[in-house]
Amino acid sequence: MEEKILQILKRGKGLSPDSDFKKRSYELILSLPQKPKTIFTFFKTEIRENLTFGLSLSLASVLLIIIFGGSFWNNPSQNNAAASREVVAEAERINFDIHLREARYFTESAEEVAAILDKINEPIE
Amino acid sequence: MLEGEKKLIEAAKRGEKQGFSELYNHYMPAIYRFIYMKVSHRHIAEDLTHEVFLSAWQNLPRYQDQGFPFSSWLYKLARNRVIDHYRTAKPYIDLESIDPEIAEIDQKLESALDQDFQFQLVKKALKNLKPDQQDVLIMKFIDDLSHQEIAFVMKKSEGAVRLIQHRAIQELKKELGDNML
Repeated sequence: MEEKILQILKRGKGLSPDSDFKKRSYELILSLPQKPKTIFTFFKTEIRENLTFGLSLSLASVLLIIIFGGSFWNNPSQNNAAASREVVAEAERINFDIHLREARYFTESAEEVAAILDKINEPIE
Repeated sequence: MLEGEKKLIEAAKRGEKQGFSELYNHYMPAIYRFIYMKVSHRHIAEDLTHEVFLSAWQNLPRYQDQGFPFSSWLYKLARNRVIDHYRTAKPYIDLESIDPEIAEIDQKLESALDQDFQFQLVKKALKNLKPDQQDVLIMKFIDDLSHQEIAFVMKKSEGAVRLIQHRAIQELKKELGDNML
């Protein structure tokens, strides 16, 4: 049945416009002017047409660099590693200061202690 | 697709009548068939076809080639024009109220196809389908457009067009019922 319906529908290919109408309509259409291109049309067509493959490729490359570059600098694991390195360096600097202070303390206090001991050991007259 | 179509379009875009003439002669009958199947009235179909080609001629300088045949653009214009026609359609005129003499003249204008009872039955059933279903069946089986072209005209995917076609045929079978047996 489906085939039969489609065969009947295809008979519609035999429909054709009246030849007088065809001629009259054609003449009437061509007697009217075309609409000029607007500035908007110019931008829409000309820019699109002039956007060559090379230009699109370079634009795509720039876009990729921005995307991947951005993701590299914003990578959380990279940031964490950098932060921990800084903390370790700072901790080491603190330790170093502490050691220096301790050394200075011992040097100074040792001298003082030695002086006191010398005083103690002096014979009482 | 018409041979040397791109050159003809470029010529027509520059306002050269020869270019437009070839496009008009090649595509006008198909567009007329499409519209006639949608409105089922010879004079209305002629008026709308004229408006479609007038619009095409006037807007050709703005036409952009998108890699599809020129006909796709014309079908888009035709679809929109038919939609506008039904949106602003005047109230239905009862056949009995028409002057018998005018009706007789109209009958003389009818082609052999108009006398084809089976074709008239299918055409009537087609009118009861959804507009999208009608469009797909007409473009596919009367105007021989590919699914790809129909998809472009209707702004749908090819898969969606195939689905509409399948449903349309089922609906048409249902509409016709026993009439086709």
